[in-house]
Amino acid sequence: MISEIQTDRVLSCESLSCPMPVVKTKQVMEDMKPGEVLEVRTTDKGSVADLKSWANRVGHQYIGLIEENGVYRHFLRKVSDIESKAEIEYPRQMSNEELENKLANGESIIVLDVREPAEFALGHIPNAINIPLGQLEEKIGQFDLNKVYAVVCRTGNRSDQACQIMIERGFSNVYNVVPGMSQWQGTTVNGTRGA
Amino acid sequence: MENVRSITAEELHRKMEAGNVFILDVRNEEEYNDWKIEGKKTQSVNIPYFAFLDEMDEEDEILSNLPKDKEIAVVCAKGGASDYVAQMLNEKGYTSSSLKDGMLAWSQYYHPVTVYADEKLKIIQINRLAKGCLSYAVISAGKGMIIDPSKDTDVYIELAQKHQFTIEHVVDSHLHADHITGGPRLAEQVGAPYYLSSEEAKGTNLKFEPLEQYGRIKVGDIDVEVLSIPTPGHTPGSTSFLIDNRFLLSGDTIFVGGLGRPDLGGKAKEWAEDLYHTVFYKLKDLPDDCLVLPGHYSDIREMNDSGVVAERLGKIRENNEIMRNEDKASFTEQVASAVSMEKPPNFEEIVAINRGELKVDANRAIELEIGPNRCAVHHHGIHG
Repeated sequence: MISEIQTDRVLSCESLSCPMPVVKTKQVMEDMKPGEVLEVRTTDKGSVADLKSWANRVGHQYIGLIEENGVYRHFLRKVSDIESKAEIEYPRQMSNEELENKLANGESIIVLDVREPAEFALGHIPNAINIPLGQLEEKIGQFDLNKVYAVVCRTGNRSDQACQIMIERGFSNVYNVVPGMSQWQGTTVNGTRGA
Repeated sequence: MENVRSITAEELHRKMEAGNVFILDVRNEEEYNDWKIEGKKTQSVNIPYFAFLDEMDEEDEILSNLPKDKEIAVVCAKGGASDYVAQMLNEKGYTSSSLKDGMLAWSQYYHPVTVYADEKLKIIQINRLAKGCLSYAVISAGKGMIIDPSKDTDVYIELAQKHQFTIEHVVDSHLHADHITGGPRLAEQVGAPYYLSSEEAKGTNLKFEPLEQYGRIKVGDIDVEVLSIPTPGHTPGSTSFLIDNRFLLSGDTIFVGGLGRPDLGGKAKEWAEDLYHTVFYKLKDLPDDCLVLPGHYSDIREMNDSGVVAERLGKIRENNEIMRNEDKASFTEQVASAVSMEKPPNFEEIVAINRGELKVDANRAIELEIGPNRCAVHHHGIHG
């Protein structure tokens, strides 16, 4: 059971009934920065479908839901304009299937997942290491320059930026996994595993 | 909430019948597509409440779907979001009201309609509009029989007071999978026997009178008799009731728009063969002008202009190709292939309650019954 999931904000809507959880979530999301993750806690059953529909409607990412002791914990990520428009620039790519095959064959590849902790916690490739894009510059120093890295995010945009940062920092064997976790067919596990 | 007029399910239904209300359902699209309020004279539109959270001006596209010259009844799951939207609409100059307690209240609203009445016999159809569940009161000389009562047994007790009869028999045509029966409870409340087919009660501890042992059940002191015709097919012990060769209370065997679905026990093919047998042998000799009064409907087109869900047997035979399909193999295949559709929500739990194996509190019971009815083989040859 996952209990600690790092997010940028937590909004408590326990015991509030419809429409208040969505009304409050909307207000809080307006104040958040693109890329940030909000956890919304509700007890109203109707909030489950509604928050998801609302997020899809306005274009935020509904990361997922955990039900714990009668509380619904929703994780939502404010999608940035840059991210939704950004083109993938880093040329060395690896498809989801290629990565899946290489891992299955036991090749020595470090899977670096640059999504937010909540996204990672709700499903990632086994043994992947989580470093959110925003913390990459600060944490990448501890990694071996000579190893092979497969960098993954949800759709290939954040991982593209991560690959570029790593090349600047002197890494040479870095691949952007496309399209990324949104289409990942292989096994996943839940939980946290940061660097 | 201030400035918002709330209306009850009954008021809403009255306005729907009069054709002077427009329904704005503000639940999310999935919920609306799954289950909604429908009426022959009522238009409805679905705009989730969260679409109203953004500032909108008079020209907003969302508002262009709403009438200014008609009352708008705003509907949601429990009444919270509809209050919110109705208030907003009123501020923008619309006339709107909010359905009190939302679909929760609608799912528990019952509408009785008299199907037939002469000096000897009265038949009342009690329509639970939200579920498409029909129960019946057959009344004669101050005595009555209730068939397929829903869990809200007060409905029948009030009906008996209003129409001045005492409930002497309570019957379930079969073990229901789509709603919680009120049969045993009502029987206990009024001190009447509760009847069910032994086939249906197999393996349960239910207290019941075995229907198959009663060729006829007398209602009142005049000659109105109810004849049990075992009509397996829907479930193995499904029973129909024939009154005076003129009215067939068909349970879930024959609907206005089609035949019952035989799959819920997981033996679609065997039961489909039973259904074939029922349709072509047991019911074969009933006259065409016999009025079929089913246990369910799933489309408002099955309701006639007087608000009764009923049809002459001849007409159903004529409209339903499947009932004329006398080739057993193709009939069975056709029925069995129609069963891959969704099952009624929570049907396993509901069956367990109806078998007396599971007890739930009132809130859980309400929750279990929320949602549409999916008991009919959808739906061969409906003719509006």
